[in-house]
Amino acid sequence: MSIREYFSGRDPATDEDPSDLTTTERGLLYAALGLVTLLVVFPFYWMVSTSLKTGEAVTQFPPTLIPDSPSLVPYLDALANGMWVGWFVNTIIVSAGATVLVVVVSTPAAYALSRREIPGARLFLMLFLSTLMVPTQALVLPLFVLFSDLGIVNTHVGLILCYAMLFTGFAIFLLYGFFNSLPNNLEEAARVGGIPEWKVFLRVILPLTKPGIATAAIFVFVFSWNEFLFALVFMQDTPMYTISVGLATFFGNRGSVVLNQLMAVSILAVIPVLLLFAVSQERFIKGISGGFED
Amino acid sequence: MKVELTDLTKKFDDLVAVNGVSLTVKDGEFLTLVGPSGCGKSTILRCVTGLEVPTSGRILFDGKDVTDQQPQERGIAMVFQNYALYPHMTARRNMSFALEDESLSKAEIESRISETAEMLGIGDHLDQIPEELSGGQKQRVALGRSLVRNPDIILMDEPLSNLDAKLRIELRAELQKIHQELETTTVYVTHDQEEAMTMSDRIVVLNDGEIQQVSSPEAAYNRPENRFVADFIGSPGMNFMRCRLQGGTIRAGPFSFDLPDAAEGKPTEIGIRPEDISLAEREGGDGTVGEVNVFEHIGPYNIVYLDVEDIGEIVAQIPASQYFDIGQSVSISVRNDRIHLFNETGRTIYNPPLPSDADVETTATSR
Repeated sequence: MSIREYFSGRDPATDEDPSDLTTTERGLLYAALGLVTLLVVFPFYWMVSTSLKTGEAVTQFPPTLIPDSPSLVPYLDALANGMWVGWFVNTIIVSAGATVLVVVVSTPAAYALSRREIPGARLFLMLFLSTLMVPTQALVLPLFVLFSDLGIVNTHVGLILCYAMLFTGFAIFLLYGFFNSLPNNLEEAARVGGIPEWKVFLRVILPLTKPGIATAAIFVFVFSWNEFLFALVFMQDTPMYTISVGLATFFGNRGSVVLNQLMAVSILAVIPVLLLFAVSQERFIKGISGGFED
Repeated sequence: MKVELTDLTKKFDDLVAVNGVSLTVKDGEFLTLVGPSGCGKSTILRCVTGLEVPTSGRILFDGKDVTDQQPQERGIAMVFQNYALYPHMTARRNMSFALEDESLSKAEIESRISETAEMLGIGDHLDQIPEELSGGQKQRVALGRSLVRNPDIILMDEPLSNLDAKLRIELRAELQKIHQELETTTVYVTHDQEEAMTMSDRIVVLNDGEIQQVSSPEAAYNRPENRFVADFIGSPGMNFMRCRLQGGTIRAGPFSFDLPDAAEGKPTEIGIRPEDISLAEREGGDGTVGEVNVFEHIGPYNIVYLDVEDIGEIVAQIPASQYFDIGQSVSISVRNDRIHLFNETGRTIYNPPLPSDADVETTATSR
């Protein structure tokens, strides 16, 4: 299924073709779609536009949609002003670390829950799911106390563990559904064929689970990248900030907002996530919508 | 390798899938488990593979107890109905995958694959992935994947059921040829009695988790041990009629037969194979009469469904040269020496002698 077909929400095999619509109907359809697109895209456009403005143009009223003299100076100023590079590195370390940890932990867990006869498997699954129901705000304080005692507040490891805790339940649930959609026969064929158990998992099951794992990984990465509350509480020294915390402090610095620089950094912060999604969207959507396709 | 099952029982919660089955598969034999869906045939096979653990009973390979062994340790191969090929591997890799863990040289693996591929006619498709192969090619690759390992036992779970009719018959013959060549002990599961009849050295007819009969295909057809086997084996199926005994005569609707001396007990039902019924144009008013409901041209013979008073519908298989119209009244005659008799429990109390008159081993081992 292509992305376009997915978003059109129709099955190309059975649904009527939109070309069956009359010209008026089609006009209305596209007008409505255009309006929604505009609403979604405009704030982002405004961000880009402002980030390229300098001096008076930033606060000029009425504002101009297209900067008169676009400039990359706000980007350079912003990068020179804050500890952006360090914050980016922190964010990358924490997001990537959390992603790897969550995938490594939840893939075998989900596989075992889906495929092995474990006493109380359903209970475990409910417990993992229930971690998604607990408001994260309620977890901040107890975890902070615990991590202070362990001496891992203000470290990458500490925040990685926080994120792993927040997202593992979700990843297990997602992968559990995915493993359930894999036909049993493949493992059985491998087992009967004399393939050792570890190899069945690594060479037969894992390659077929790639779309599911990729989906889980992208979710965790993006959530970690954007997470604010835990990063704010657990990363106390300015050099340890992540991008989202950095942006917040930048906003409040010196009592005034340097709007164009803020926008510039916001865009830099969003780009990695956008790139990731652009590269993986096909697989991502297949992962959430389809499960395994034989 | 010889396979022995002793008193094998498998329960899924309250459902008894296999109930006290004891069975011996001889070395090099092609044995088929056949029965309707839910009869436990696949469960038995899966217990032999080790994919299911029996609730009770033992499984022995050449006298060695393997009941508690993992599938990996059993030196077996299995072919699945839906092929179960690894979708992310080429046909070649599908076949070589299991060999990688055995201490074989690359050249040895290569030569085994090309030899097997040659035998199965898939030499040109080795570098394709399963998605690019047709159903028949997929099942050949799956078969090849089993054969390259030189297994002691090959287990097949309805391997031909997903293929179209023509291919099914073609592969059926190929499987027989391969078995004759390799003489690997083979246990084959099917719901298709025709497959069972054509391919097997012996067949095991199952119903409700219990063995109904273990015998050669001919014996199962000609000398069924109970009504279930008589009904299940043969297509079109045997005709059954309620009957009563009057002196030395069995009466079933308008038919009457002499009670054979060899009959062991009182018959309540009589069974007649469609080919033991002959039809003729009706002349005069005597004889048993039926009205033609359906007339099917099969090719080498015709099948006629008839309505008979006091009995209902019966099926007759008649020569291709004979032709009747729908609605036509025909006179029916049944060979007196070809009847099967059953008592009220469904046990066979009389079977006609085999056409070949040969002694065929018949053993039932069900609890």
